[in-house]
Amino acid sequence: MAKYILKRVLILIVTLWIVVTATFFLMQILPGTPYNNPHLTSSAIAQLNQTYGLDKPVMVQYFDYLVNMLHGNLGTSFQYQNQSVSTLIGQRLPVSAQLGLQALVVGILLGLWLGAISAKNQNNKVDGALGVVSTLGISVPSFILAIVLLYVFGYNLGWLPVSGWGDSFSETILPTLALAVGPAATTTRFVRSEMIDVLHSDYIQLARAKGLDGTQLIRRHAYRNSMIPILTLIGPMVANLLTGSTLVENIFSIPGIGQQFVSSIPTKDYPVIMGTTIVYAAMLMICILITDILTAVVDPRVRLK
Amino acid sequence: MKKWQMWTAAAVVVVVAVGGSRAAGWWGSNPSDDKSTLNYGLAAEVQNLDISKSTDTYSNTILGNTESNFLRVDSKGNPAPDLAKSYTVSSDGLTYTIKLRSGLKWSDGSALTAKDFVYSWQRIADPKTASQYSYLTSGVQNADDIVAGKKPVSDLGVKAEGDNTVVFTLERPMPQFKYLLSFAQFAPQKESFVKKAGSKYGTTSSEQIYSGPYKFEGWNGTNNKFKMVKNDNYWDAKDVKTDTVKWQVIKNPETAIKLYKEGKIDRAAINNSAEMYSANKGNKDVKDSAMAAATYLEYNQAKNPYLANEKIREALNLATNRKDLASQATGGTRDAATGLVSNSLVKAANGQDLAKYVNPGYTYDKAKAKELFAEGLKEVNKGKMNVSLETDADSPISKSTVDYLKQAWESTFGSDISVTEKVVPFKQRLQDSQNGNFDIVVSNWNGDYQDGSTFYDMFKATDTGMNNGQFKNQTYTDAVAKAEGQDANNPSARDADWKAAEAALKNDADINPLYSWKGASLVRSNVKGVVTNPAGLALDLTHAYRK
Amino acid sequence: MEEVQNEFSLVGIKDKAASETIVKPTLSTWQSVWHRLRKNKLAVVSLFFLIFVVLYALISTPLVSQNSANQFNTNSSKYKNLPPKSGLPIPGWDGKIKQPGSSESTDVYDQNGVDKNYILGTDNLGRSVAKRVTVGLRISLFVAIAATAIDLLIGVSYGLFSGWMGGWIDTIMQRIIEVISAIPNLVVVTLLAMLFGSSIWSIILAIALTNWTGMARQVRNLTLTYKERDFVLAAKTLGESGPKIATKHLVPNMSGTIIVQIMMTVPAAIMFEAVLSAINLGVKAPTASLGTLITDGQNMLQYYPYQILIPSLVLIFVSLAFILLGDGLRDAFDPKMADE
Repeated sequence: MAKYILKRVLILIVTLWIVVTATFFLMQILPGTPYNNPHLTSSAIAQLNQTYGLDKPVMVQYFDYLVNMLHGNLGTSFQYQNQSVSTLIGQRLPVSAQLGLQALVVGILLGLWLGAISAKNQNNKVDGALGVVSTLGISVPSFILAIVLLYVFGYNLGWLPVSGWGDSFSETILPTLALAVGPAATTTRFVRSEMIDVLHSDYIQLARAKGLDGTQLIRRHAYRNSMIPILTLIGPMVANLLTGSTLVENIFSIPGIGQQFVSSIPTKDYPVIMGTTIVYAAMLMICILITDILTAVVDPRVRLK
Repeated sequence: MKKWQMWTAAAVVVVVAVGGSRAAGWWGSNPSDDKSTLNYGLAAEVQNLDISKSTDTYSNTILGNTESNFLRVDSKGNPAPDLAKSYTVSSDGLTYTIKLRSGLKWSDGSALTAKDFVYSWQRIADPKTASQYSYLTSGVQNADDIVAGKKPVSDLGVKAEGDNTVVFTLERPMPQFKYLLSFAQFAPQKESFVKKAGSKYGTTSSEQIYSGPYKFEGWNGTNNKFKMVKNDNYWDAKDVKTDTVKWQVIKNPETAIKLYKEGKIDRAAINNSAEMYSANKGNKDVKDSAMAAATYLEYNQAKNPYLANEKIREALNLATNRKDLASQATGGTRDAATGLVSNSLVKAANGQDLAKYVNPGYTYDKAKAKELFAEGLKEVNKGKMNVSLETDADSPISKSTVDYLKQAWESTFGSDISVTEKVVPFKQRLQDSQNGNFDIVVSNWNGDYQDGSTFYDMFKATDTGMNNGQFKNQTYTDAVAKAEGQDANNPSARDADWKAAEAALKNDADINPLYSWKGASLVRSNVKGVVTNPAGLALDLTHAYRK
Repeated sequence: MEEVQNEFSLVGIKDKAASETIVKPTLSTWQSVWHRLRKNKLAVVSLFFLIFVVLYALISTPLVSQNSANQFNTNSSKYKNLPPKSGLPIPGWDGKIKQPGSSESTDVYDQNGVDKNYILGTDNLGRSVAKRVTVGLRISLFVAIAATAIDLLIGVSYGLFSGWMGGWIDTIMQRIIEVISAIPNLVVVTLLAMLFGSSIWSIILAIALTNWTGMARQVRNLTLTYKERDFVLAAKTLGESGPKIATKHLVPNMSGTIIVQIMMTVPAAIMFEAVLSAINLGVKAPTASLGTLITDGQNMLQYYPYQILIPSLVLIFVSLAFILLGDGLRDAFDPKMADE
């Protein structure tokens, strides 16, 4: 086990290095100026480039960046001058993590529940309706959902706050919902098919023969055995959440890392774009690693190689 | 769990969630009744509070209210003494001698002296600081050389005489210099504090020290709710009537309007889109405010052979119906431009608005435009004109503007022209402008201070950083040089020079003025004493209070 | 025994030889897939819906040109923001809307003296929403389908090569996929879109370059399995070349998986186009795509909700149809369902 984790961590580090390198050189050829002021003359720009070390050869800049990164220094933002990228990301990460986690938990719980209902009612009307609803949940991009939720519950009905973060739990409800629908839909579909397989398996047939009724069957036996494969879904779900959260955070003015990423793109804030990309990639890989390990721990049939 | 239990549980969750939000204070007492507190929104995050380095409007709004300079622009638009007791200008306009009030203090109680001002000027000019505003020091003795790294900062023409006097030596008379003395970028900075904070300076509210009416609190660098509290060490603290100003970042302008209507903030702009404007302009709380900002087209005369042709530029200008553009593409949120300079920047010596005084008479004439365009095409002799029109995507209005221009030109000149729109992020537009990588670009300029030179300086040479079309117009250059040289101390002659410059621009069709900006906001009627400036500090809350 | 036998007589089968023939009609793979797909009503409806959408996009090309969707009258504002009007007294589709700032809904067409009916209304400049959505749908579909085609090309050949070669080449190629999928798609798409600028082709490329990994993985796994099967071994023994085996034997056997994967990639590409538009990296204005229409409509949500709802619904329905059809096809290709 320890050997396996070590190997995976090593691969993770190599992958991160490749990501860093690729992003760094991509940044070099992107259009846009890092400076805000339109009034800068070309000599002033040359002066600024010198101060920020942008006039050095690209390879030198690249190695400087790598060395700094190893020291935990991701550089200083151009847009938020003086602000270190580590601080900018570090303070926003918990916000995004909370939002993502809430959405994931709500989505998976909802999905487990709906999936079980769907499986129990296999091929009747309830199942059909849930099937369409869950497919719809997959086809609606979370940012469109966010806009609609904002409009209906925020503006028209006025039930929930429309922006902000950190003052009350109510602020998190709409963005969480917008993001939870995707995972909920995926989980529903997955649980349904897993559970149908399990319900057709021999031991469930045996339990049925013993006289257990439907609800009990699902709660005692079917759930547990169809849960394990759901773990494998978490990786891709997190990846989708990352995409969705960038726009959703923007729509609800949530000070998370996604909003930071979106706003750093048009402002061409290289250090922040680099930093967020690295953090995103690391988060995604760590999530996948954790789910792989969890799967192995939970399911004795899976052996780690 | 039985079915009914499950449904009950679900219902309880919903009730708690909705009810909880109501109970959480969002629905409680109305903040617009609290007399000691004002509430405002910012449309984007505060980026940093380094006085010499901050570049965005929002950081500037916070700095302008928490830091003071020698002067502060009053409600009539005149720079009036703030930390300065008085100032005198020599008769040649080259020496400014400023006396400070006695007993000035920083928010931490330490003494604020003339040295702190000198340090601030030296710091912004120092190439090591890498301030994007260092060009503003130009005109002060040796500033250009210091910015270029050719002379040490100690050579800057700003000197402290004792603790209470600062003397500026200028290279040329600058009537606008008194406005610079009110800029947040030149507010005093305490050297020992800046050095101690090091790279963290200005990155959180506690990594800055305050000389203004308020202290900034509760900002950790990335959060979106923070506040300004009254600074008891401010010399005029007795006239600061508000204890707390709460701020929150609200990126969505519609959300700001909603919060305004719920009483949670005291001001919300309504001119982000034409629809928002028409939906709210009937509200009794709407107040217009002046804004010294203008939008104009730049023609790339250096690289595009069609646009190097004066007749074609003239034709494009004549085919631009500015009135319809303002009413349709911007839905009345902007005013049609009359020239380069924006409306309500400053009054001319004769009392008229400067824009009105210098009006060179841009017109809309479709027939003449067609005629000139045909002639121009013949002169260029390269067939059909394919041209790109670039803008940044920052507001819905800028998109409608290019859509409108494309349609207007193509319907006027028919198959002789094909306009391609290029909507890019702001920074990319800037880079394209600076590198001359465009055909026609939509440029915006928001004046730095209330004087014509903030607009006319842009084109006085090809290397100002703003003359992206790279045009040379000797009549224009001469007129601006005259205004800033021999006429510098003669306001009415100066205005006449601006007028000549404006006429020269129109004559050569070097730019195409589109519209002049204006502010329109919902403003809480019980909040008094707020100063809004067309240039510089947009929202001054020094003497604001709730009645 | 004999007596007993005499008491029974053979019934039902008149011709002994007939009992030897196979009762089920022989179906080609495609026929049997269609046979099974037909049982899934949702999938069939989706299929016809998509055929209709694609035909509509194609047929409308000469009728509603990109230019005509960008046209508006620069000298009159009476055509701006007209709500959808069907000409029939259907609530919400009768040209009436609450104008911003007023409290009652009025017929804007009467008010402005417009006698033409815009079936889906007009936008903030007075352009027909119906025309813009038509063009937008066409552009979005084109982007999605082109991106998927590139995905297909890269993904299938990458997967085939990797799986066929095996060994260290396979290991390295799989590592590369792992690295690419470790970067969130959004990041890659935005960086590539920034790099290539905002033309339709650059967006297609940006989307295609991120989405192919899924296809490559599946194709590679199948290649590994099929590589050891008899029909491949036989072809090998007969001396057929690698590429020939791949195209003649492997790809046809994987077509089910590949088609299902395509059905899932198209909606993902449509969504990415919308996301790119939402961060202003979409197709060049004034060209409409579903994404840019939604993004532009966002500012109108409070005042003229139809301007965002119409393109959003189109996007959602098209994605939904692709996914439902994909589900149906997966079941139809599934050998487990073959004996039903």
